[in-house]
This record gives sequence, C-alpha cells and structure tokens, in this order.
Amino acid sequence: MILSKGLSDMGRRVVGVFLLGVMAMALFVAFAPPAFAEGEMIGTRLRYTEPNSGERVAVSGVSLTVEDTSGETIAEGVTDADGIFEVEVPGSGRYGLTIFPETLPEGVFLADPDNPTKLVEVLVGQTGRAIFQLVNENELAGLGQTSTITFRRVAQLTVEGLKFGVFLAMAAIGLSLIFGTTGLVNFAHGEMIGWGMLWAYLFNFYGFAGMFGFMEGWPAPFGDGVNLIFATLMAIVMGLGLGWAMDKFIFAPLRARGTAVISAMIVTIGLSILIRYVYLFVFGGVPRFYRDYTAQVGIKIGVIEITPKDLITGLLSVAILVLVGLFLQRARMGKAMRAVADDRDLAESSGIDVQRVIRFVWVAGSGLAALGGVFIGLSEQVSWNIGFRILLLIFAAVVLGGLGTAYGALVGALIVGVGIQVSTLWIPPELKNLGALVLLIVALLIRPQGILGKAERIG
Amino acid sequence: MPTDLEHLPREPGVPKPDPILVVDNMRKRFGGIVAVDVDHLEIQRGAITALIGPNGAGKTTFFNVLTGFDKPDEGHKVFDGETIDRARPHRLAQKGMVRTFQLTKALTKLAVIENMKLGAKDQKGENFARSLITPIWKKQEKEIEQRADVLLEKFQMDQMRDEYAGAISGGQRKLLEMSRSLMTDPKLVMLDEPMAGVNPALKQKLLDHVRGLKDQGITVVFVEHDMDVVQGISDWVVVMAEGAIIAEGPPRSIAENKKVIDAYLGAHHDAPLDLDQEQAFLAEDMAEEQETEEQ
Amino acid sequence: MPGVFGAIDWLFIFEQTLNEAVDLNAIVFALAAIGLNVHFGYAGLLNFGQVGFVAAGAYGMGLAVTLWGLNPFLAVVVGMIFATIFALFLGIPTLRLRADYLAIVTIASAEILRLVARSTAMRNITRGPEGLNEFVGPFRELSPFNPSVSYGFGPFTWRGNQFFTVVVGWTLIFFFVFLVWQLMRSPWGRVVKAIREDEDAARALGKSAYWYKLQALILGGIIGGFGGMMLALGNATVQPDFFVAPLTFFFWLVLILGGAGRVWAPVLGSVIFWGLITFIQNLGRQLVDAGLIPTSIMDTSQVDQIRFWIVGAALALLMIFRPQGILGSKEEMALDAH
Ligand SMILES: Nc1ncnc2c1ncn2[C@@H]1O[C@H](COP(=O)(O)OP(=O)(O)O)[C@@H](O)[C@H]1O
Ligand SMILES: [Mg+2]
Repeated sequence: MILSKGLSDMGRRVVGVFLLGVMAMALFVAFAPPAFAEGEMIGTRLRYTEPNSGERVAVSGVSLTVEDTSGETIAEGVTDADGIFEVEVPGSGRYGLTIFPETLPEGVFLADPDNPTKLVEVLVGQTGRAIFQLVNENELAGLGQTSTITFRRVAQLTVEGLKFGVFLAMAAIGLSLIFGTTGLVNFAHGEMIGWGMLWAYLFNFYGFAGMFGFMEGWPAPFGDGVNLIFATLMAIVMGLGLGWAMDKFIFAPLRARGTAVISAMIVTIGLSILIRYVYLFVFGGVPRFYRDYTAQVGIKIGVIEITPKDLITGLLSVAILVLVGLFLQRARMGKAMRAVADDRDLAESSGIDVQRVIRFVWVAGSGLAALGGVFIGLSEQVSWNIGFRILLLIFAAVVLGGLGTAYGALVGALIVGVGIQVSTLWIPPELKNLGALVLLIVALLIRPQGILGKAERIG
Repeated sequence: MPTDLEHLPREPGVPKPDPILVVDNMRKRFGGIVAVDVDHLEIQRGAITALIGPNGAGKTTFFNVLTGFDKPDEGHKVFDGETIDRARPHRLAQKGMVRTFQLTKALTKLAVIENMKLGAKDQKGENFARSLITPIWKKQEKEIEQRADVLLEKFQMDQMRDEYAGAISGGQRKLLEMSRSLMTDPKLVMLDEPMAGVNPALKQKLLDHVRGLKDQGITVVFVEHDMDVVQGISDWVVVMAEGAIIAEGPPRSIAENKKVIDAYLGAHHDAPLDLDQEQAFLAEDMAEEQETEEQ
Repeated sequence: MPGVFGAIDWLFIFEQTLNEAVDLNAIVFALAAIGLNVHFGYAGLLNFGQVGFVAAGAYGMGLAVTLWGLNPFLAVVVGMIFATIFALFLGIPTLRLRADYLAIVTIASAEILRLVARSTAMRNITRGPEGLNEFVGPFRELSPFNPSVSYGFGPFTWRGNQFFTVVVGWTLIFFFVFLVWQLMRSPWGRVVKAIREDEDAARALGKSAYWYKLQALILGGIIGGFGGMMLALGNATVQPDFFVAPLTFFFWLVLILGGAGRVWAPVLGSVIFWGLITFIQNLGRQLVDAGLIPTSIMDTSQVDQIRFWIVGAALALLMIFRPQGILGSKEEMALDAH
C-alpha cells in the first residue's frame, strides 16, 4: 500500500497530462471544413380525392419531420399550397419521413395510420421521395384494417437485425471483457466506438493530414484521403492505441492506487462527455457518410434484400468473431483472459501476469470497438454522438448475455440486434430502442446474471 | 450448561437433545461443483459448535444458504421451531440468527459507536416518517448508545469508540463485527473464521468472548481452520469436506477420526484463500502493538 | 495589453456571473444534486439518470394542468408521483443487484424517457418536441409579486414572475437541505449510510437493504422532480430536449465539486458551477466577438460546447485528484482505498 501511494503521485500527474492531451488534440487537429456532396433532398407530395367533386386536391399545411437512422429529427416543416414538402438532408443515406396525421385537414385520413413514418433511401445528388396514401371518409370506411406483417418483412428485419447484431457484438465484447477482468463498467466505451468511426472518416477524406495538418497537399496517403479499406486499418490502429493509452495513463494508475471501481466508473463518465464533445467540436454536429461504398443498391437474395457492403461487413464480422472465439479458447493469452475473468486472485496466484492481461484486454477491446464503429458508420452514418446512442444497446447486449463474459456479449448482441429490428413491426422505429430497454429490464428481473453469466460470490 | 453431548453417537447427522437449527437435504451447486451437500444436521442450543473443513469444503457457502444470503437449490431449514426456507437475511437476523463474514465487513466511514448502534433491533427512528421527528427516537437512541458502550467496554474497544471503523486495525475490526452482531440480541451467532488473520494475543481475547457468549446462553457456530483452537473451546465439532458432512463429534474424537485426517491431507491443504489479507492484518496489528509498547 | 481588456465588458460579465449563480439554473441544479446526494452521497446508489427524475417531475406537473386541469397543489403532487413511479421502475429490477446495474438502467431509462416524450406516438399527450407550454398560468396567480415590477438589488434583480420562482426555489432548497440533514442524523440515515458502506453487513444486522435503497431512490428522485418543477415554472415550458443525458453529469459534477455526502455540498457546488460557467462562457463569447480568439479556432456556438469539455474533464479530474470535493474530508476518502 505504501508502494502504491508512492506511485500514485506520478500516476496522477500522468493522468492529468493525458486529459490535457485530449483537449489539446481537439484544439490543434485543425483540418479543412468538410466538403460533402450537395443537393440531396427528401420530399413528398400530399393529395387526396375530394369526395364531392372526385378531383385530386393538394393537401397543404400538414406537418412532417425528417429523422436520421438514429431517430433524431433533423428537419421539420409543412406542406405548401401544392401539397409539396421538400427539405435538404445532410447527405445520401436512409431517412425516416414522418407525417403527423393530426395536422391533416378535416375529412382527410392516412390510409395506413399505423405507419406514419416512411423509410426513404436518398441517393447521392438526388431527391428521395416517399408516398403517403391519403383517403377521404368514404374510402376510409372501405379500407379493411389488415395488418401488414408479412413473411418477407419479418425475414428482412431479421437479417438486418443479425447484421447489426454482429457489429454490436464486436463493439461490445471489449466492454464485457474489461468488466470481467477489472470489475469496471466503462461508460466511455461508446466513445471508443466513435473513435474508430471518426478516424476512419478522417483518413478516408484527408489521409494523414487529418492528423497532422501540415501534410495538407501531400500525395494520397499523407495529404489526401485513402480508400476506406485502408482508412479502416488505420482506424483500428488508432483504436488499439486508444485502449492502450486509456489503461496505461488512466486506469492502471487508478488500480495501482486502489481507487474504488465506483470512482473509476465516474471517471469513465467524465471521459465520455469530454471525448464526445471534443468529437462534436472537431467533427461538427451533422451526420456524414464515408467517401466510398456509400450509396449502394441492394441485391436480392431470396425474399430479402441487402446491400453488398452490408453483406461483406456482416460476413467479415462473423469471421472476426469466430477468430475471437478461437483466440479465447486456444491462445495462451485468451485462456489467461478467461482465467482472470473467472477468478482474479486464483489467476494471480497461479502465475498469470494480471496487469498484462488487463492491458491486453483494453487494447484488443478498443481495437474491436473501433472496427465495429467503422462498420456501423458504413452501414448507417458517421456521427459524433454514436457513442451515446449505441451505449444503451451495448449495455442491453452485455447484461442480457452476462456481464463479463465474451460469449455472453455475442449472444446478447444478436438478440438485441434482431429484437429491436423485428420490434419495428409493432412499434414506431423512433422508439425501437425502447424495446432494448424493456429487454434489459426483463432480463434483470428474470435472470440478472445474464444468459451465460454466473452468480456472484458472497462472504 | 447445555446437556452433555459426550454421549451422543459420533456420526454425521446425529440428532441433538435440543436443536436450535435443523437442516435437511440442503444442496447448492455452482456449475459443476456441488458446494453444499448436507443430508441432515442439527445444531445444539446453547453449545459452541465448530464447523471445520479444508479450504473449499463449502463452509462459507453453507453459512450463506443457512443465513439466506444465497438460495439453495433444494433443502429445508428450521430455526427455533420455525421453518425458514424462504426467509431473507434481514428477516433471519431479526429472528435472532446473526452472522459475521469471513472477509470482515466493517462499515468503514461510520464511527465505531455508530457501527454498534446500527445493530440494535426495532429502532423507532429507522422508520422514514418517524425519523423526521427527533423526540420520537431520541430516548431509545440514548438507551442503545448505553448498551453499545457497555459492550464496547467489555470488548475493550471503548477507547476507539469515536474513530472511523475503517481506521482501526484488522483484528479490531473482527472484534467490532462480533460485538456489533451482539447488539441484535441474537439467539444464534454464526461466525465465519473469526480468528483468521488475528494476532495471537487478540485471538485469545476473541476466544474468551466466544466462551462468554455461551455463558450468556447464546448458541455459537463458528468456522475455523486451527484444530487447536477448536479443541480448546468447542463442545461439538462438525467436519465438512466437498460440501458434505463427513464427521461429527466432541472435539477429542474428531482429532483421531481417520476420515477427517484424510480429508485434510487429501485436500490441497490449508492455505487460506485470503492469505494476503491475513498477512496485512497481522502486520498492522503487530505494528500497532509496537507503537503502544514504545509509548 | 490594455486593448485586450478594454474590449471586454467586465462589469457585464461579473453581473451575469453573480446573477446566474443564484438564478433558476442554479436552483434547478441544486435541487437535482440534493436528490443525487441522497442517492449517491448517502445511500451509495449510482444514479446516472437523474435528469429522468427532473423530467418526470416537470412533465408530471405540466400534464396535470394541461391534460387533467388540476389545481397547482395537486399538480405538484402529480409531479412527485411521476418521480416516484420512475424510481420504482428503475429500482425494483435493479436494487437487489450489484450497484452497476442501477447505473446502466438509469442512464438508459432517462434517455428513453426523453425519446418517448418527444415521440410521435405520444404527441397527443406530450406535444412532441414543442412540449407543454400552457400550464404556468395557475401557478403565477399564486405569486404575490407584480409581474411588471423589478425586485431585488444590484445584480440580483428580477421581474415579478422570475422573482417568484427564485423565492420559491430557494425556499425549497433550504427545506430539502434541512430534510436531508434531519434524516441523515437519524437512525434511518444510519441504516442508509451503512448500506452505502456494505450492504451485506447491513442485511446481516437485520436491515432490509432493498427497502431502504428503494426509499432513498424515491426520496432523491422526488427532490430531483422538484428541480424539474422549478424548471418548468421558471421557463414556463417543458420541452423534451432540455432533458438530455449529459445534464445528469452536470449534476454529478455539482455534487462531487461540493463534496458527496455533505448536506450543503449540492448547493455550494451548484452556485460555484453556474458562476464559473457563466463567467467562462461570457468571457469566451466576448473574446470571440472582439476577434481576440480567431474564428478559425472557435466560433461563438462552439464556445458553448466548451461547457461540456469543462464538465467532463472536471468530473474525471475531481474524481482522481480531489474526490472529497470542497466540503468532504480527505481522511474519510482515504478509508475507501483499503
Ligand atoms: N459464487 C460462486 N460461484 C462459483 N463457485 C463458488 C461460488 N462460491 C463458492 N464457490 C465454490 O464452492 C466451493 C466452496 O467454497 P466455500 O464455501 O467458499 O468454501 P470454504 O468456505 O469452506 O473455504 C468452492 O469450490 C468454491 O470455489
Ligand atoms: Mg470460507
């Protein structure tokens, strides 16, 4: 204990330097303002059949909002005299367009009142359009209120859920392993996902100049953007580095001091806010898209439709997860990790260098989170606050599977991924995370140690 | 004095003349391990029963399921004539079954005296609404404080009454935990390795206190590694190995029991799990003694 | 450089700073942090979703008026009930489990609450993103102050309605500080603190840790709910996007800054926090406006983001270097590191 007190002063200073470093980085990473393609719009035109004259009439003054894939509203407005609503969106990609039926004039109804939100795919430089079918009283009476749950939709949502689930698993494993080996719930884990996502963007658009401003104007990998594949590799390296730095400069010294995990947890909360808002400062608040592979047309496989990029990254993720599993089963370090997670004291007394294992877990977990971040960014969008938006889902996944177990995180992530996608059959997409929360709470009520976890020790 | 136990048959599960606690078919598994596997056990009222067994035998887990801190997979328990299969730990404590923990649980940021006062039962001021009106609980609080002071004096801890519990030595924390449990007016005290990591002088004191409990008519069950200690003070010894009770009998008979010797030698042997903590405690206590000597 | 200081209106900055240190924001934060103090400082509960309680209180009170047309006093009761329901929702599944589960569920639930409040599905009730705007009338009728007259002195001057909020707010603060003080010196408080230190030890001594934690969660939640009600009254509106997740960590900073587990800590923390933030932000804005900070580094809207950096960094640094805050004792903190 006396030894750790001696260390602690140095440890504190190092931590302070690191935090200042993060802030300084934010100040000095000066790079050119983003230049994304312009002209993407989203719109709709509302008309209905006037029951007396039988004419198609424009419906004006109806409120609509545009949401991005996270459910954040990015634009709102009303239809003009021609029944037209059009707004600019930050880039190509998928958006939700929501109509507010209560703002429809009297006698006009939504044919499908259960689905006020349409998913719209906006291609580069084009306007994505949605159609809302409006009906008058007579037509409304004639509409059979059939539910629209079809096998095709279920299959499609399941596949999308699985895809998101494997991304989530990759991103979440680190959180679970860090908890398993140190007892720390890392609330900054989401920011580690954002870290990979954003670095890939920077490399993708600006190359190394994204990091070292003076390189601007140099040839491709240095002064200019590189293909996303290389950018991804570089983002992984940055991810590994972040995990190393976080443990080396913050959490290892805190452990050496004997700081309670609860305090360390509050430190992670502080870090997460700091880092997230540094992202906002550097990157801006508007969601963006990677330069490559962004707008892709889906290919049909049986009843489902999937874009090539989603297919490839999904399969790649499965392969990586299999490798992680093999590593945990076979490799010496993998076994050591499981041993530490299982019983830290026992592992220590049987000669395992626990601190080294923990360092490795931080590095590897952060690397996987970074890669997960890139895949999610590619599949959806690149945004500064992905870390917070995804945190709930990661928590739901690891708690469901069993906090502290790697396989648990995998199982939990797949359940959460599929669960929230399929739940959109019944609940509006903007509330789909509610499903994850409900899942989390039900899991805690029924089996708090999670599917693969084990009960804790008392006394 | 309790009935003489010398003449009981020396076999596992033997019925006692006046049992305060009866356990039947108690089982608890952790994955593949059966941590507790007890067919039948009775604890004699008013006696000191030692529970011994090699490390990992399941003693702590047995305590946990008995006191409600862990749910057994199956089994029945009857305390003082009442079935307590589903009772939660705090209810059991209120009924008079109180325990201590192998790893000491002092409430570090509360003063020693506050630790003691917490133990008292049926405090009016522990109800939210009543706590708001001081006169309702002031008088009772004074009585509790007096009782606590008497106990502290008896345990020779009165001079550290106002210190933080986290600031006293490890051995003293063990003492505190024991005396705190007495504040609940228990019928049965279950002590999980009360002597572990305590320096020899303090150990002797603890032993005297345990004997003192018996004199007050309190039943004691305690877990211990050291056979010598067990010989000295217990009326009855129960031996656990691999979750099961393998032998029971008066202390002398146990030392010669072949099964027991096998269990002890067959096991990895006797390094306590929390060796580090013990050594830390020991070192602390020794340092403190030196200081007092120097003064 | 006289030019630098000449370009800056120091008097304005100081007036703003003093005013904000006791104004509505400081009141709301102090109340929220008093609740958090009951949770974390005394009961050891890791509530990372205090903003949810603030929102529950605000929406409860607002809806009671807009939806059910209740009178102001009943509306306050409804606000308390909403906070209680939120506490039960969070507490029942998690309070039997390790402390981290509460943290996970609270941080998630508070955000979900906001998303539900602003969702299309709830639009008929919560009015979506625009929120509730027509509830403040009956409350203002209770005000003895003339809306068009200014009250107070120097930088501490408010128009009648605002003055009413400030007076009610500070009265509530003093009331809850007293309440917490009384509770924590009673046997009830002893049990709660014991549970913070070691829940199993408390259970072994006959205290139902679960029940006391639930009580503490509800109490702290209701106090946070009063923060939300003050916010609603002061701003005359309840909008979902005010209740964003980082706000909880502002409350945490306020609490840790003051010193968790001390009765006055949340109030002191809040006053200092709002004073500092106002000072830095006003100075930053003026520096940018005066061209002293080039806009290539930072524009005025980004100055406002700095608040989050400060909060994040300060929270982490405080936990590392001075976890006892201003009022706490270092010795007590050292007891933890055993
Ligand atoms: N929570 C738990 N999870 C898994 N195994 C446990 C748990 N608690 C105890 N065990 C196992 O149960 C057995 C009995 O342990 P314990 O009751 O602590 O023994 P003792 O107190 O006799 O040393 C050991 O093998 C131990 O590893
Ligand atoms: Mg044991």
